[in-house]
Amino acid sequence: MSPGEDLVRVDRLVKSFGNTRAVRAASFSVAAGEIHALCGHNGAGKSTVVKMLSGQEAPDDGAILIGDQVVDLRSRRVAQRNGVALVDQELSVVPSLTVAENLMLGDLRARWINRPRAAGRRLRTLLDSVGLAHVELDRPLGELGIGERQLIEIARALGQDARLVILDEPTATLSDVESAYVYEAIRNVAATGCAVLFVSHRLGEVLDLCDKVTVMRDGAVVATTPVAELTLDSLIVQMLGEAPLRLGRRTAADVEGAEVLTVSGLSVPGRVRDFSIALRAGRVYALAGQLGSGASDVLRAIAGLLPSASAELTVDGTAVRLGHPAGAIRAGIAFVSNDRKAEGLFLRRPVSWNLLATRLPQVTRLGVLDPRRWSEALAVLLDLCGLDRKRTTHAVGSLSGGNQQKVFVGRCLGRDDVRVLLLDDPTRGVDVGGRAAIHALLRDATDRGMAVLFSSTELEELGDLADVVVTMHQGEVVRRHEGDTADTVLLREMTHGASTALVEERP
Amino acid sequence: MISAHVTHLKLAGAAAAVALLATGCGGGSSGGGTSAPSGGAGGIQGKTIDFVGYGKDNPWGAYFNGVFVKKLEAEGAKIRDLTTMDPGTAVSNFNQAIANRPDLIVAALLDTSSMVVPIKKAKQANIPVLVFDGRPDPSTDGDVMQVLSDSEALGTAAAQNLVEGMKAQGKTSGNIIAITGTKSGFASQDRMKGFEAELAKTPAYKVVDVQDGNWDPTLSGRIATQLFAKYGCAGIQGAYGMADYQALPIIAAAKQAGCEVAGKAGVIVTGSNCFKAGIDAIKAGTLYGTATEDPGTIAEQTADYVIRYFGGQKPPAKELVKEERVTKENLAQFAEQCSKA
Amino acid sequence: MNNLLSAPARPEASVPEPARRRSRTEVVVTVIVVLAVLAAIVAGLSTHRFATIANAKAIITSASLVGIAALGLTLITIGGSAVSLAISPSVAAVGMIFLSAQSLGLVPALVLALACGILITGLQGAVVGYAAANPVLLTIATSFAIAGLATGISGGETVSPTGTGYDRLNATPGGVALSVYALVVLALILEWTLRRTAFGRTLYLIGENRRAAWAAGLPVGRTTAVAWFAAGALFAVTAAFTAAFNTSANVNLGGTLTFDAIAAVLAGGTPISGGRGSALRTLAGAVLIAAVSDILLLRGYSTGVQIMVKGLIVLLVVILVHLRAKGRNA
Repeated sequence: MSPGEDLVRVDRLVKSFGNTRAVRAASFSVAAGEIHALCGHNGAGKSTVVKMLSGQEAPDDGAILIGDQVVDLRSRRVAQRNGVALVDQELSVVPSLTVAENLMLGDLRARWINRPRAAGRRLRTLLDSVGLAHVELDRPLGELGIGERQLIEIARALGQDARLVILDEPTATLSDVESAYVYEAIRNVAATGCAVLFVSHRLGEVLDLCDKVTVMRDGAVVATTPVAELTLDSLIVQMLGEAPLRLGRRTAADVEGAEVLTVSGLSVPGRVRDFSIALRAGRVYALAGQLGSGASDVLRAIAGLLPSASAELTVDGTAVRLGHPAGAIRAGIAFVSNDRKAEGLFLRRPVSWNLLATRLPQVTRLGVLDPRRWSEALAVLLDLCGLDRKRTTHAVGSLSGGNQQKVFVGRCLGRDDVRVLLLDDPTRGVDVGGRAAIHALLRDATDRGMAVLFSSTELEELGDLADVVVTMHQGEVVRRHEGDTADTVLLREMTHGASTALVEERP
Repeated sequence: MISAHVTHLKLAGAAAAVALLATGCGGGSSGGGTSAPSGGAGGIQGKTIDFVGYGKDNPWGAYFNGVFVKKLEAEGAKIRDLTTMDPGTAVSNFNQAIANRPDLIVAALLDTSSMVVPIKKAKQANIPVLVFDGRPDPSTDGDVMQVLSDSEALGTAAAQNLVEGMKAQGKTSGNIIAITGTKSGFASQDRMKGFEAELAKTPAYKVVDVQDGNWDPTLSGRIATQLFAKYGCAGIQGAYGMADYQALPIIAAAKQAGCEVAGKAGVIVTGSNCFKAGIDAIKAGTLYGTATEDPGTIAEQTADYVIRYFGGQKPPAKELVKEERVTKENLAQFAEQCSKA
Repeated sequence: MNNLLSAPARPEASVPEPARRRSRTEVVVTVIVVLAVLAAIVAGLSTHRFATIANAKAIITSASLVGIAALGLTLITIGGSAVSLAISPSVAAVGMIFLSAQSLGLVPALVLALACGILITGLQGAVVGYAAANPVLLTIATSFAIAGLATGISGGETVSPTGTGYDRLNATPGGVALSVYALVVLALILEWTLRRTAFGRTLYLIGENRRAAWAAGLPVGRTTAVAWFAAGALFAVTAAFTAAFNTSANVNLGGTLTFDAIAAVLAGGTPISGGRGSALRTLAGAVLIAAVSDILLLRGYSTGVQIMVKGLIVLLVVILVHLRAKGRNA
């Protein structure tokens, strides 16, 4: 099939869930060799389109055509047989198996009798193509970092002789360096004549990587536009229908509050060495570090989730013992994990339960729920998070990722006893609108005298939000930045550490 | 409990049989078993006995073991304790006993069919086996010595209790329910045989419902509750709980259903093997009667059989323990021996 | 600071809300449940003497002893501790203590039984709650330990009551067994506790996601231990009623109670994975099993068939609960 010819066509797809029309007559097509982005605000319907294309949901109406043939993708396996490969948001690799075994998982060509040498050569090529040349095939996957696992997942999808490769937020969990490998891999795939459908919240990478962008809003396709005709702003306007809220940036001299949290000599065996920081009230601090830099571990240790950590920790001058989340919370430390499914929310429970889970003593009298206090506290939190009151009875698991994160962050706020708010990669998998809203929420927290410390790898977020940025690399602090710092400097420190940075600065 | 059913099965185990097959005998050595049909004249002193009886976690077994072991050890026998309440363990313990080559194996059969092969093996190895309480599988009947509880007599006694009680109330006819032990076990089957045979003599008193109570007091109570609802108080004049601990829940169920128990017109309830709680209930007048099958008596007789066997007296291959009917009339006589378990 | 998070106000109407969907599985499940209920009603009405007040009383009386223990197990299950496999030996031990303490009078004996029940089961709960022990493995071990200890202390013998106070537990005020009142009252108290108290909410949250509850600073250890404490008290109530009913107690008093209680909890539709379920569901499960056993008994089926049908009911409900959950989360 020659490039330029439509390989995959989506024709007036319709899908409803109950009374909700998730997708309304969506049509677009992807040519062979094209990298086609699918963008949209959370809930725009792009996930549903992806599910229909990958055989996880059946359309109510409309058709999917692959190479001019109408196909009935009844299951993921059928979709795979028709040449559709999907790389999920969620990792579906198995840590206890080796790299090679993971690559062969679910492979339709796998036979009862393996021919290890031939297979090995093929798998080696696959790994190389996603920039994992340094990873041996017989290594247990559990030894690899989360970014490397994501690349393995992509390699597996690439290895399935796909004609259409769908990447659903493939870089959501990846650092910038790792993302670069993924982009390279995607370009290689497209060059072989595959069609690539790329779903992402990172608009920058969409503009850099893709050939065309289809934007969805409220279940319908707004437009399909060649990327050359788009700018970041015009893309956002298409997605949101209006310009998003931009927040002013704080200067370093804005507030000088009292020291709220001090950490000295924080060590986590194998992860973090001798980390110290002092947080002042009313300021936002960021730990900038790629995966494995220890930024996440610092936050988890302060929140009491790492029993192996050791440090001297004080909140408002009072010492806090590490290793007990309940103790940290009593001391006024609230933590928003980056894994909200495992460590944050109670997905089957309604929004109301989740928002008030940590506040039961405040909404009860002698251990018995007080309906008045309950609804009052709930109303305050809902306003704070900007969530619809009608949704309080919905299971949190049924909300979009952005709204889930709002619930999680909201649960930690609206409490006067919270002194320090820790957030581990708070906008992971959250759309542009939700991201701005969460940023606004953090600003509000500092206005009320809290200190905020978050980790992130996104330069835009670091620049917009943080008064102080501490870069980390391989478990150690590289440098502390106040005020304006060039993105390039931060990125270099995050990816190379301090010493390398100096070397590279030479002409 | 893990082996509740089995436990009750044995517990209720009604028959004790002793079978003498061979005799072992050569003094104190454990390898001396020969096929001589008597225990030899050496007496019991120094003889080794592997005891694969009921486990101590069973009340009936606990008391039996105490009496039995004490009596034989006083006579100078060496007893190896291989008791258990688990049928699977019993088989492997029995095999272990064969490997030990004792002068005699004394065994209770938790599961008659699974013990067929081990008993045959013992016979091949010329190790005599004495079975007590419940009878063995018919295919091994000739291979073992037996001291058995007389299960049919127990059933007969229960039927006599009921008829006597109802007659005393002036009832010339009556409906009877029976809640049995584990139906598939010989103990339950034999007791029902005696029970029904005795009732056949007075056809006006007839059994209207027989349910499997599985030697489980709680289950028996539940079934009784449902039967009293099914037939109503007027529909049941007599009730048979195969063991006292099954008869007592029947009484509780009847009371809860609002039915009168004993007295001038109330339902007559009987057990058929006695426990202390049953004796207390007979004293209180709620339980009409029961029958013996107490562990002490059979333990004495089994130990005595072993002594006679080693003493060269050649006891009969099968002995039945004499079972007695117990009612308020002769309570004083049996209260002591029935209060052991 | 109102509506800070909703800054770019977007209509969210298009977000799929799986909770509101009616998937095909859910319809199928509903149909099966309706058919099963209809079949049960037809079977009941067509069974001679089933639909009588006396029989209804018998059914709920049969359900009461297992039901009270199952209520205790419900707490354990909702809290994410799966099941306790040590119910039968605990009940047997407490029942023996209860009867041998009759000489002290009914109330002191009851208090002693409750204290022992709470101690036996509560200690296990503390280990599960604070040390995150696997409840299934732990209770297998403790069931042997309890049975062994009870056997050792009693010498394996049957305990007879040392007084007559116990008989008041067999009373039938208003023609209904006291244990039935106990079952209903305890079920209502428990249901209220689960729905209306901070303890209840916390228990559901821990059961659904123990790690998230821990990370959120909820009192995981304490709440779990309290749930097991309460379960121990309920087991003790079952023990007192059972011992009083049987008028004697030995190490086998519990019989098949462990699995009967598990069956009642499961038949009520409480998933073994925790985080969901209710006391009233368990009550319904216990009554359902008792009613079906009763129909089979009245129709003359053997104990074996009754046990098998109990298993089939549990299996069916577990499958339905699973399908329903899947239908919702799809």
